[in-house]
Amino acid sequence: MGQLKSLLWKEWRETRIFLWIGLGIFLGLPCVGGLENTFQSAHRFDIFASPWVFMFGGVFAMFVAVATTCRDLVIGIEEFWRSRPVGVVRWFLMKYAVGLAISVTVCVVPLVVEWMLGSRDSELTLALAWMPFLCAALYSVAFAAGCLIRRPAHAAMLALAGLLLIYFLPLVVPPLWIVNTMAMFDVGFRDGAVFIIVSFALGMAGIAVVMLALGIAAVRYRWRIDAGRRLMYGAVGAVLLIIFATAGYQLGTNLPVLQEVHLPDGETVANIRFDGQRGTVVTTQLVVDDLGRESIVIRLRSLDLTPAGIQLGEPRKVVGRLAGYYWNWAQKERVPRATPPGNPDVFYTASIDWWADNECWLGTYSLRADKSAVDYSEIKLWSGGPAEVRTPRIQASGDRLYVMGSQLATFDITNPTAPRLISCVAFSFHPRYGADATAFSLTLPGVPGLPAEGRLRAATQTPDDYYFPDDRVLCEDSDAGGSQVAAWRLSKLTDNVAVFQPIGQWKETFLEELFGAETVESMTLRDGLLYAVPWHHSAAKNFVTVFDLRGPHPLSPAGHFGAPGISAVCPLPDGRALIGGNQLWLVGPPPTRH
Amino acid sequence: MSQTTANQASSPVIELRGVRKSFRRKEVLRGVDLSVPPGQTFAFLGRNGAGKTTTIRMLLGLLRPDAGQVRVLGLDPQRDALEIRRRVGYLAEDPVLFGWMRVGQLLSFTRPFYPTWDQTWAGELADRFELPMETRIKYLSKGQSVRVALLLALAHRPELVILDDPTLGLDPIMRKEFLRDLVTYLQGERVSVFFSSHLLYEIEPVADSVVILDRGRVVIQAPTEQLRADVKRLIAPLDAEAALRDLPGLLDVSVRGRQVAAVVSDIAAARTALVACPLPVQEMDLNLDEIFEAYVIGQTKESPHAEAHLERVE
Amino acid sequence: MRKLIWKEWNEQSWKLAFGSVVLAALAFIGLRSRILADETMVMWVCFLGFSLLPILASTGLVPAERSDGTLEALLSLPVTPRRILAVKTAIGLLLVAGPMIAAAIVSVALAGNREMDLAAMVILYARSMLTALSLFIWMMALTIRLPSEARAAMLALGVLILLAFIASARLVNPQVPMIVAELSPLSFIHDVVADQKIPAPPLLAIVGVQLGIAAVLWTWASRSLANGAN
Repeated sequence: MGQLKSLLWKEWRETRIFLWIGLGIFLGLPCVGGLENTFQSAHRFDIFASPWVFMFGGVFAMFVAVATTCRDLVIGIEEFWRSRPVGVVRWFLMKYAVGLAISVTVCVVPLVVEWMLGSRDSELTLALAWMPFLCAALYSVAFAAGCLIRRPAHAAMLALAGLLLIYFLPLVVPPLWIVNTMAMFDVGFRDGAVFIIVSFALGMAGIAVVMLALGIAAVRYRWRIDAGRRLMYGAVGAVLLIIFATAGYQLGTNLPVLQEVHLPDGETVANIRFDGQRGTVVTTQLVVDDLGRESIVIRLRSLDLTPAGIQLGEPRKVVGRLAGYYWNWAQKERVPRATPPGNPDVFYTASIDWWADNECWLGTYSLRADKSAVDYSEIKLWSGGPAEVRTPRIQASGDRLYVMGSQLATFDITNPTAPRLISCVAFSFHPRYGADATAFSLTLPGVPGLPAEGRLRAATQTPDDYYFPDDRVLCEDSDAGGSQVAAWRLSKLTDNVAVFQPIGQWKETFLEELFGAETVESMTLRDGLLYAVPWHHSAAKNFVTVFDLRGPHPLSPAGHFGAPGISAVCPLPDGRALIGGNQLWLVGPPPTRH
Repeated sequence: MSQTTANQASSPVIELRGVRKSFRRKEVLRGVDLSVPPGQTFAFLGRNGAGKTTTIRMLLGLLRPDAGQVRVLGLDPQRDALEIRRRVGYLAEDPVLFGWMRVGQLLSFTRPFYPTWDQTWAGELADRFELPMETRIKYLSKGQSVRVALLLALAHRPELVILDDPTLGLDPIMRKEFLRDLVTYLQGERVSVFFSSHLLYEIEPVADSVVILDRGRVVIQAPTEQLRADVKRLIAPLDAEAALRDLPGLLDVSVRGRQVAAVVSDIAAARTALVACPLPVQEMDLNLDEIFEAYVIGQTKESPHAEAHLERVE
Repeated sequence: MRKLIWKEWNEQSWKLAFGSVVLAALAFIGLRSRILADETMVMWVCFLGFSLLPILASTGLVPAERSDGTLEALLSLPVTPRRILAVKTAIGLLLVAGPMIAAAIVSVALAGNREMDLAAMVILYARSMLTALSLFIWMMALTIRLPSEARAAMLALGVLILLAFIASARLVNPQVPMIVAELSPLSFIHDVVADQKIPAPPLLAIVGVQLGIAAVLWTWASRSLANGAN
């Protein structure tokens, strides 16, 4: 017992500094952030440590392992302890245990504190179960690397390559699914979550045991990998290749390109309207004149889909009101608008002028029959009143138009191009805030005369929500803590309430964040395939992600398409899709994925 | 004393038979035979690269021999390494200790590993070596560090102490002090000491026996006194060269000018052989340094070292 | 001189081969799988090239030799330190340029004129290579006195970050004079990555400024090397 106590004392004295540093980073810094939040916004004190732990906890464990092993494998020190009557196995087991305890503590304690301070996020709760095993596996890989290589910098590089392999190899090799770390971040929403977690834990424990045995054997039998510059360079190269190869596999374009139509330089597709045979493509081009003034040039092109493929007509530049019409139209669902039934060339938008006493205006765009011009009219609805956070919602049903903001304005649109105000009364509706991917009930706004379906559409007429009435699916995108997409299916609709059941949720993985699109700008759903289009201002990184809502694990990405300036997606009835960016592509459906 | 104890008392503390060891096709030990009786101070001599440290590491089970047998205190270092290390005190060449520990902490840390650790004795040694208990190892001088390592080697009252060039890097004053400390400990203790060093003139006063290792083989193993008595230098006129070259046990012969000098390993046999030689032959005593030189670099032909030898003769 | 070149080549040639293979492989994987738009993938590869290659090349020349203990032996040869540094610089420039060229060749072969105009792709690689070569000179000069590769790499990384800040100074404050941005080799690719509303310094101006800086730094480095022997 005296020997064990001695070894424990030594290892603790040498390694405890990592405990303080780790807790300082993973707990201390989030606490500072939490305090700042509390003072600035009178928010209840809580911390947000989980992103730090998930991203860097493994790296930290790695450094602890490398430092503790290499320290006693320096030539002179090694001679010292080897010449003492202490077994190698005992010495290094104690070293392993102390370092592991510190690493797991640093990873778990911040999560526990976050959980206790109120964030009873289901994912966080589950993470408390699997995170220690991930930490143990990563620590053990670095432990083995340290025992084999014995030089800290070189061992750290090799351990980093090992860490990336653990993160990314299961994405590429299906039999390794049980140790797929990326899948653990939304495990709560999968069937058999407990089984998945237990399998993951066992898999990681297995890796830890194997690596521990390898490390002990390396020290016992003096196995050594000669660490030199080539190993370092090799590790750096391997790290980069692993990342790229995995990204290529997971995020590589797998939607087959059936046809590509070139657009002139600078012109980008803003939106596509297509009925299956014919349609219109709206393109925009940023033009800077000699004085440095910028303007956007909008062009229309007719779109025909023949057996031979896409055919784009000649461009027609539109200016003035017509340009405004199509520019508005190109903004898609970001700007709430309504179209009277049976009149696709008319649409209404409501806007708030916050600088002018919160004046609310109704705009009516009406494209003339010859498509050569647009008639536009405005009606002032109300002014004053409380500041409105969102653009008013607007819905058309039958011969009525409803604008819902701080007041409810009802219009008669028997003549669609000349809406007539019927009434304007005070109105309040609490907007739906994002829920996590659980079942929820949505109280519908009380709008007399508007059917439940229309009121549901109004309630989900927000920049982050996409309600697809044909599929009765609601999707939400969020950029809180990275890009996320969630989907629900409408299970019950009464006059007052809509009940949604979760279909699934997707959270951006590390790779997708590294290589992937910024926040989702818009979504389009057809036949169970959800096309998520990135924010089109980000030319640097963009790809379309196709989610399969039908498969056994929704939402899992089923397809990717990377191309410059992607802004619009128009799925076709036969599973193909038109994707507009710097060019226009006709792509096939994604390959079957589970 | 029982028969077993008597046997244990008389059986060698270190025994090597036909030990071979190679590192990447370079043979370092080429059949080493060695036997160290108990209760003696044994000097282990050899040039750089002779295989001394390799041999010592094998005694502690830190290296496995390619062939042959190694026994320390009757135990096999490959099988019973821990037991050997409990009973042996080891001071490595240029010892490295845990720099962050204080001296006292290092002693407390090391103590549980040795069942025979004598805390009182350790304290006495610490006082005698004037070691600052609260100072971190990394702040100690070289001499102090070596003393700490010596304390660790002695505090558990080992049956055998193995010292691998322990005075390496110490200045002459410190070396003297170190040896004084060592000798002080050895006096009155019937501890076997296996001492490897380059500094033969310092070993000479303390070594009971000497073994010389050269190019992976034991060249000579004998009590120091016997070695000094047997190994002599003979100086004669040049005309006696042929006779000297024919002497049994010839280690070295060199010619300069009108004289020839020969070092022999067995003076008695040499005298017998020279009875018939009419020319005058002068005998000279040699110190351990010179004996070592003769064994290790001595040549029986014309040697580049000839001038050096004869300069000393003259 | 030939022997010096032979020595450096023997020591460093594997890095050239390795770097070329890895960077070309990254370009191949990225463009073949079309993770993102071609231009974005090429920018990624260029970014990895000009951020990693100068660090690896510069730290491996003098600091590595110093930590190996062979620098003293090299400087004690009857050759001027200036000549030694000239050979090392030439090899270092090759270590930086070679992989970039390899990646460019693969990119052009795989995706030239696919989404990105061939000329635009080549120009992007060329500008990135100019960035990398200039960064190499900066890093080599500033790390020449350091005793180990690890420390040199840390300092080189710091130099990269600092130069990135300098290059982006005008983004933060358009009043910052053009010359400030020109001081940083990252201005070569400034307009590729930054907001195009802020005009980038003219290419020739950056070339001129960087050549001048390179001459000064190199002279200073050769003096440091000579003094480093003492």
